[in-house]
Amino acid sequence: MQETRDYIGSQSRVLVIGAGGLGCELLKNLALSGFRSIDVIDLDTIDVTNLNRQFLFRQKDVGRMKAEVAAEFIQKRVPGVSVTAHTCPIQEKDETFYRQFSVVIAGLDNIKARRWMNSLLHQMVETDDEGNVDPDSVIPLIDGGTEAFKGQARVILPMATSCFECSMDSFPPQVHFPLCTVAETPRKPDHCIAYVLFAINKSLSNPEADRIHEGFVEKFGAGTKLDKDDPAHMRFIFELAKDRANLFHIEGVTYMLTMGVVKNIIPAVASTNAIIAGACVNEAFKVLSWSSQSLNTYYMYNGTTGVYSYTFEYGRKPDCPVCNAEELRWSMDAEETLQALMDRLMSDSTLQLEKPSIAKPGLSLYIQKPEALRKQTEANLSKKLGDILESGDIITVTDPIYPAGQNISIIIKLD
Amino acid sequence: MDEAGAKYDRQLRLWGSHGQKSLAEAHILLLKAGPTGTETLKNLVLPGIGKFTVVDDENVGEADVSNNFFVTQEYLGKGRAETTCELLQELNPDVKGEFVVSDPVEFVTRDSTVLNTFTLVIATEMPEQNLLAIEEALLPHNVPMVVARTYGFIGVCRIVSHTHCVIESKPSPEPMEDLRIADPFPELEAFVDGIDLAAMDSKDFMHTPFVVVLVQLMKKWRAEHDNKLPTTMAEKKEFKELVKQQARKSWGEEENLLEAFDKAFLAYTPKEIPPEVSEEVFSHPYCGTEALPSGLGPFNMRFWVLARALKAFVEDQGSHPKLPLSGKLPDMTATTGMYVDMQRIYKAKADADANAVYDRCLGILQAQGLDMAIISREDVKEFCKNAYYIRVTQNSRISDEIDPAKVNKEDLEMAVMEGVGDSGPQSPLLMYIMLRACDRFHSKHGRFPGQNGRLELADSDETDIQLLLALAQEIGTELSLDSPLNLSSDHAKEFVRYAAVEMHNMAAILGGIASQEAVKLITHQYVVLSNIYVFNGITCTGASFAL
Ligand SMILES: [Zn+2]
Repeated sequence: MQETRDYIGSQSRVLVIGAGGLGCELLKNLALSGFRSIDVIDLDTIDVTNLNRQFLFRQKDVGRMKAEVAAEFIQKRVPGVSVTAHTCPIQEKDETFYRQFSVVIAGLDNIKARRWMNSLLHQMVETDDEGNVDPDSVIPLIDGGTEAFKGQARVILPMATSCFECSMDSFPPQVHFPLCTVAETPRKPDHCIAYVLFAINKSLSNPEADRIHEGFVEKFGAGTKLDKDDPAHMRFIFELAKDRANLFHIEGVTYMLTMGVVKNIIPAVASTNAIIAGACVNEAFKVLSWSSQSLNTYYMYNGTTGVYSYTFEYGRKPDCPVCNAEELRWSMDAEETLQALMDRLMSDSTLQLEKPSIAKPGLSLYIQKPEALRKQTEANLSKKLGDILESGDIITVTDPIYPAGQNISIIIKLD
Repeated sequence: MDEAGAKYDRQLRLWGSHGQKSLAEAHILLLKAGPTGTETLKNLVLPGIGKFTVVDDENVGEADVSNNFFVTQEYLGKGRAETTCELLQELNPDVKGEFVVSDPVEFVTRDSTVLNTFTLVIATEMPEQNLLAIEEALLPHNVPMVVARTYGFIGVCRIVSHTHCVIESKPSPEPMEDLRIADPFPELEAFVDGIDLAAMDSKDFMHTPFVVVLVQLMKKWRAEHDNKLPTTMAEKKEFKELVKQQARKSWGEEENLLEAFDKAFLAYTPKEIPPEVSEEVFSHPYCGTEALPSGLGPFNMRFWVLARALKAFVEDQGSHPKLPLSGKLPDMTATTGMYVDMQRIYKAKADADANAVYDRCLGILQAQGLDMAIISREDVKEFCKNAYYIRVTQNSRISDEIDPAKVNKEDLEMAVMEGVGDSGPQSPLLMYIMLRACDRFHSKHGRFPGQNGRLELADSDETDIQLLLALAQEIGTELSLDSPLNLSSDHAKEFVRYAAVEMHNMAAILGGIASQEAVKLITHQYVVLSNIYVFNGITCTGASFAL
């Protein structure tokens, strides 16, 4: 049993994405399960708030690169294992880099990076003339995620199972505070904190907000962007939020809450990471040995009330923009503008795009980057769809959330 | 934020500083320092327990080096207790580690007075017989135990806790606050009466909290309906229509009215005291009038005095009693001024309720001859804030679980039913039965099936397979279940192959589960597992059984 695992481990090179709470656990489990060649990629440095769960780091390591410290620790503790650290964004590595691995395990806390990785691994799948998938080009992605006492581990076999993108609508878009409540009728301490944040970012403009903005510029210098990891910046927000709360007789602005609101902090504990990382490595073995692979590849654990877990098959979404080649079909009114189409793209809960650009064959309709192209195409936004598209035209949407080359095709039917 | 606050920030957001304090005061006893044990302890040292003691009598061997992260080559031949204690302590300078070289069962049974010093026991690598002995020793001291075990690709976590009190069960999703809309207290009623909606301009009107709208409308309704709340579907519908009729603009533009419409049910459904409180807590023997047993320990002592005071507070109200108000007001459409005023009213009522409970606490402490200082006014406030979410839970004893006459038959039958179908042969319940068969094998033969020092299955293991299968079937027969257990020699073969081996990855999973339950037990927050969770690593499936 252990011997089979050792064999699989020694034959495979595995990539761990993220050296955080899940990443530390993943590296330990892989090293003690017979994997000899491991890579880890993480661009973050160690923060004191990591120490309650990221057990490869100590107080003295605060400020160093997570991937490097984690790699050093594992190599020292488990002789014979080689761990290579990469300290850049995953988006900076190309297909040649990712092609070296037998399996990719992601232990990330952000959806953006997970979408990008999922999309790239799907792009890397090759098919022959008849559309048959070349199994050698398939790199399984095992994705773990945790929040408080809950977590999930899932196996994504590109083009065979559902993918990360298929489940986008199960991640509700982040809740934002309504601007008018924050500006006019604050009731909660959170509203006061959001007010200062909006003022610094210039999302709000009135004499008071402008005064806050000027105060920020005066203190930290013109052109300084808000740095959520800079305690001086955080203290500035906290103090001003407290002033605003006092003005409205609102109680409860604390430094801890300020951090929570500004950084959108998710509670994280060692135990949940251990469960989910363990499940991920377990699944890695199964995909590598192709043993007893069932379709039920989504494991969720919830320890909030008693212990509850559920293993099931997450269905493929027929119109998933990543794992399904079929075009989306949208009906629009010919009288509507391109801006209306943009709005629809931006508000679509299954797409959850960031900065989409639109083109049709041979023509850029609205391109957001670079700035020069945006300026050139901006005028199209106010044009009527009927004037720039024929009914049945296929538009191509690209977005920085996806790797280059990945795009969404939508057939636009004009009424 | 201070250093410790920063280090523990991500968990303080879950269990708060009072939960952290409980952790920092906890002393954990770990029995056996194999990978399942050290992984469990790791996840408790990191979040900052106060102290731990490792009890183990083995020396570090090659197997430990290959499956335990808290053992390295350099320690080969040294004591496992000493080694793991040193490497675990290194994780967190806030935590104190100790070790004792002893057989764990002997340690626990030899001098039971030492058991009082522990908050919680974590038992690993224990066959049934050993667990029974430890359970017996712990019982008089009311020290809870978390059992964690891995056996090849199978893992089991089991909680043994006689009476466990929960101060915050934190149900998810969070239930609606008690806003007393159906039965407003005098101060709220006076506040609402003082608001003249008709005289408001449209801007003020659309910023009137839905609570005010509903209380006013319900007052009107009751005046027209014999002072009764809507009860039939038709009446409820009629009341909701009444809410709609208040609109001054087209429906949907006034958000406060949308909120009032959505939450109209609050106006005709007064919040009830949950049965978990009114029945399970209030009718618990400790919630009576007799003297509380002195061996309860300080935490439980405080809990039961508070629970008795809460019960008295409720009983003194006569008909339609209420739990104390929490004082929390959820966000809602409102002007700042109106919201803050209302918040003040709810807060004042919550404080008054808490004071009333505090007075009763003092009476109980005095009557029981207890130190008046063990409960502060702040303690009472915190307790009252979560009055809806206090719980008392009980886990079955292992000695009952393995007794066919005492085991929870109903749950067992249900588990058998659920274990049929495609996933039947791999069902967690069958894994549980197989593991018990392995223990029975162990107590008969002094070794686990397949444990013979060889790496691969040998022909002689065929005997073990047959013996093990017979034992599993014997257990099935003893349980005399309605539906048969589909045990086959494949199951036995798999477990003989496992030969009681612990694999690091499975140990990590079980260590995660066991430590999470341990945190819940130590902080008295969240509801713990009832009683057994079995995880099958082959299929990545798991299930909880209340056996
Ligand atoms: Zn997909």
